[in-house]
Amino acid sequence: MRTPAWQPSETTLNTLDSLVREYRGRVEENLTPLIRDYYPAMLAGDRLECRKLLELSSKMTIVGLACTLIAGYPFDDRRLEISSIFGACCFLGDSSLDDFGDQTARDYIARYELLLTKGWFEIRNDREKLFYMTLTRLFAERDVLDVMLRQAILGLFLSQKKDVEMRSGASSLRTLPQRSRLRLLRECARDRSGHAITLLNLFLVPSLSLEYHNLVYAAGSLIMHIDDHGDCHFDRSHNRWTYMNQLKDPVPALRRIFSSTVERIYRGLPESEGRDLLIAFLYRYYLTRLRKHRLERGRGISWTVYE
Amino acid sequence: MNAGDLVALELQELYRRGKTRTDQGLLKIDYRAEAAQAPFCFDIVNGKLHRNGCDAIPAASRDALYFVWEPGAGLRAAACRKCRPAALKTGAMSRDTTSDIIYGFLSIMDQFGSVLRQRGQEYRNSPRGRRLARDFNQLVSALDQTQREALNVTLTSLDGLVKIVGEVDTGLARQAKAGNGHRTKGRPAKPSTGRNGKEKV
Repeated sequence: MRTPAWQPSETTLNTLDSLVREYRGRVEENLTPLIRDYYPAMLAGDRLECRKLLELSSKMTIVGLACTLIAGYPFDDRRLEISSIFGACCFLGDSSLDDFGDQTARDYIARYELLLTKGWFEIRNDREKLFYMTLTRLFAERDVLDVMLRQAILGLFLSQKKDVEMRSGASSLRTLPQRSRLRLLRECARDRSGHAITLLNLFLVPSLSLEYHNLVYAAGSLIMHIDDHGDCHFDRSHNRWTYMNQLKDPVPALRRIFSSTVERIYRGLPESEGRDLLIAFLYRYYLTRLRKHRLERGRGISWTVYE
Repeated sequence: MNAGDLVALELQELYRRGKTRTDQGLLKIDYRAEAAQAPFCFDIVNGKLHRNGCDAIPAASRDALYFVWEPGAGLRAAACRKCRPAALKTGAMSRDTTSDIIYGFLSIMDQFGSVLRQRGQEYRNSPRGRRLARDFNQLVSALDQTQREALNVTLTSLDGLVKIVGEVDTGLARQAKAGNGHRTKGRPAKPSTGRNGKEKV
């Protein structure tokens, strides 16, 4: 079989691996003081939650680096800090949605909606205090009333809200024909991560041209499908439906989504170090999540850190 | 804790204690009302720019539309072939004009005046505040005549603005007292002191 043109070279994959190692350390340097100040319990004991947060932030930082280079800007210390904080903010917000049950998720959605419409947020514990501080630090970095940026913030929120509502109303989803149900789940996953990567991009490069935004959005959507495949057994055990865990044959489906998206990114973005890095990251992430899926099918789910 | 973090937390603490007027917002990210007025929308899934309301926008993209006032350089490459969006000479979305900013500033002074005053006093007496004052004096001494004059104009303008804000603030407080005697605008009736650096609110 012919090697696709987008296939990352060994050199690019090695560069990616060394960047991941480097940024993991720098992200930790950026975030540890913030965590120590506002949620010190996260640094106690086995630090599992903290390590997961740092891992997600490191991945966001690599994606942020690639997007910044695609736009032709240097990835300086400020952008590194924005990416680190953005990753922490996503981790903490997602944890309120995914890790503490449906009631907590609905309650968080209601309070976060008030934050976006009025600016008020009732902080209930140290985890939420850290979340709020990461959010205020991010909002201080750019003009949050910028037309695109504020739409990305709200778009991400609305897709999270839809996800929580669909999860809560799983019984009504069951009554839909299979095709409609899959379409809804697919669009929800697409938008949740698509808006998130667009938001990261806008915090890093506010002036990115429209023609690149849809390709970056596609990369974000792909990340969500890869993620959902990796979390398939965990989600099923919590009775949570995703597009990937409702497919009869998810592995070939993910392969098709992966190939077509990466091909589109490769053809659509101008040749650059950033484009190659983004594709290399997606490739590595795809392979590691396929492995995670297989591992958890064999030995059962565990809340662990996957690099 | 840095000053920005502290102010951000104190503002939410006021809300938690019910010391803010719930009819007043602090910040509105929600864009939906303004979006209805935008001339264009960008389907970020398919990379197509449409006129707002174009019937070629796929239903599947409705949650992934970005409303656009100024499409910029990407217009031609992304334009929908059906509605053919063209650059308009109309202005951008109605955003913060100078008067909006001044009113925004006044509304914050109105609602959080006591917190800002308290923070200002603490900051002025802190080592960091004193260091800032020393650095500022050194900076001024290093300026040439033209630069000093420019700085004086700026500081005089700021001073004038603060005085105006103070007068408006006092005027509003007097009107509120004359109105029903209950509106304290988030401030205690008398300045409180000796509470371990915390304003009693």
